Amino acid sequence: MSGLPYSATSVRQSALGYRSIEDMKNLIIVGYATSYFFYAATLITYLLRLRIPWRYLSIIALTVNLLVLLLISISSDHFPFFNVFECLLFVTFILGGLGCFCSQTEKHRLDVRCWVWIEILFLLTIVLFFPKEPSFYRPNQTFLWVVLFHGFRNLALATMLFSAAHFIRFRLESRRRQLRNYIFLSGRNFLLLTTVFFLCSEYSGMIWCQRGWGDFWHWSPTFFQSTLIILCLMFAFHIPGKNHRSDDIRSVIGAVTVLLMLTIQVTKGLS
Amino acid sequence: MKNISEQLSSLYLTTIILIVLMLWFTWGILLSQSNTFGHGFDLMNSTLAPDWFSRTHGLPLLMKLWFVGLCVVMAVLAINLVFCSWVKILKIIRIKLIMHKMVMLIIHMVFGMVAFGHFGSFFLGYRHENIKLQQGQSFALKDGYILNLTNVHFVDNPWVLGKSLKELSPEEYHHDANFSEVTLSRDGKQVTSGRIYFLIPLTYKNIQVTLKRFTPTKDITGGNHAVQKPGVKLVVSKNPVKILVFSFFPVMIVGIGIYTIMTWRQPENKKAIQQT
Repeated sequence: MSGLPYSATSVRQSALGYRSIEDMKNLIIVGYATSYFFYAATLITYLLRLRIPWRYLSIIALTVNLLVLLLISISSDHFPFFNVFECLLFVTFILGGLGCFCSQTEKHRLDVRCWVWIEILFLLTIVLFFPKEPSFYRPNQTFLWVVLFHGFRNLALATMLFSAAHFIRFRLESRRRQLRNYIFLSGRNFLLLTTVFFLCSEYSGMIWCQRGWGDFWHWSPTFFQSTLIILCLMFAFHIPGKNHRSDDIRSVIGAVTVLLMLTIQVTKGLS
Repeated sequence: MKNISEQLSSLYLTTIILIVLMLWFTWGILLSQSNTFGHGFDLMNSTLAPDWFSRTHGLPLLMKLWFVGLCVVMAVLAINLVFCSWVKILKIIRIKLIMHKMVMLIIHMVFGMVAFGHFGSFFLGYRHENIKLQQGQSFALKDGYILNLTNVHFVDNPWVLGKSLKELSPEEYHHDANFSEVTLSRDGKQVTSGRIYFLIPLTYKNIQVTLKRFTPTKDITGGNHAVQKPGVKLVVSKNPVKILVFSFFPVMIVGIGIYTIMTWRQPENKKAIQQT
């Protein structure tokens, strides 16, 4: 028990570092507000069809978002995956990237890209109700499988939101049959990708649980919620029929699943 | 007969089962969050299925019904999966081998193996939850092994063990420096020994010794925790089908990944999308 790390020196160091931690927190809040502003400006300019400004604004918003994530990582010494603030900022960054580089601008004003910006603003609005600071230190935050569990889960949420943007666009269109080959199938592609990411997260979670509690399954609400998401995804892929009505149902389930996943993520933060 | 097999292999049946399963798990979430049944789920986590149905210390009736119902629905899903896979195999043999459909068939079969392994883990092996030991103490396992706690190495102030995880800072608690040493012996002979850390268990054959947490020691002479070494709370589990689940699950993920790549459809009617 010699050379104990809980000595008075560390307490003094903590007191000295308090000021810089507070500064860092303020910087993170400013960064969050700035990215919120630029995403909102992107949506407005996009709706007004100002082609060059929205492109620049979206790149600035993404850059600021990335900087905030880096700030969180540097100040907390862990990946920005763990609390609602970190998680949703990470999701907005991935979703913004997908919106910028993996979708196209259509004639229709409320197209997929537009829905992506709306979704991002919705996520950032949810963040308003949570503490805007890095998550508390937890001893497991550096454990590979824990990081992968949270990382893949956030990635799954981002791709699912992107997929939902396609499904919403598809559902709101009166001439849905003409859009099937583009909008609906792109949504389906990203829903499949979501499944891969979500299952990767589940597998990492199983290893984490096995190592921490001696079993890969636990009879608890969190495990039931994950199973519910998997069942929703399975349901979306098992709707019988190849007609437009089946596609309608698939798109509704795809969009509803994202709401379920988001609700679970947010309620976890509340608890 | 053909009609029955068609119904059992239909996608309509699959969707119905999936809806029932979703409702079942929603009910499970509600049950697990209620004060009345929370204890039942603790029992399910600390023991295996045969104990859940014991007359003296078993689960409440409603939870037994919930679990049996879950098993019945899963059994119907398994029947649906077998019939559906069989129909697909026949189609592949008789009509044409389509690669992505073959991949999907494999994914379904692997899913069946994962689910089967999962179900088996509720019944096979054993589980000892929350074993509280102090340095030098031992615990007898069900299959004749003796677990000995030979050493507890705790570098931090034992006072921190009274705090919640949220209150701990990296300076206060060093999870990678705190460990305990255990041995497993049988018939008086030591078969294995090693250190167990937080999230790094000791594994011997199918037996896993997991360090759940360190426990604070209450000193009788005046509450000075630093005088005595902390104890440990361990979980010892044996799951012979664990390997089945852990090896088939990634195969399923890779399969879905391959299927995603194979069926990734590019937009066909680009005319519908006009750049501004």
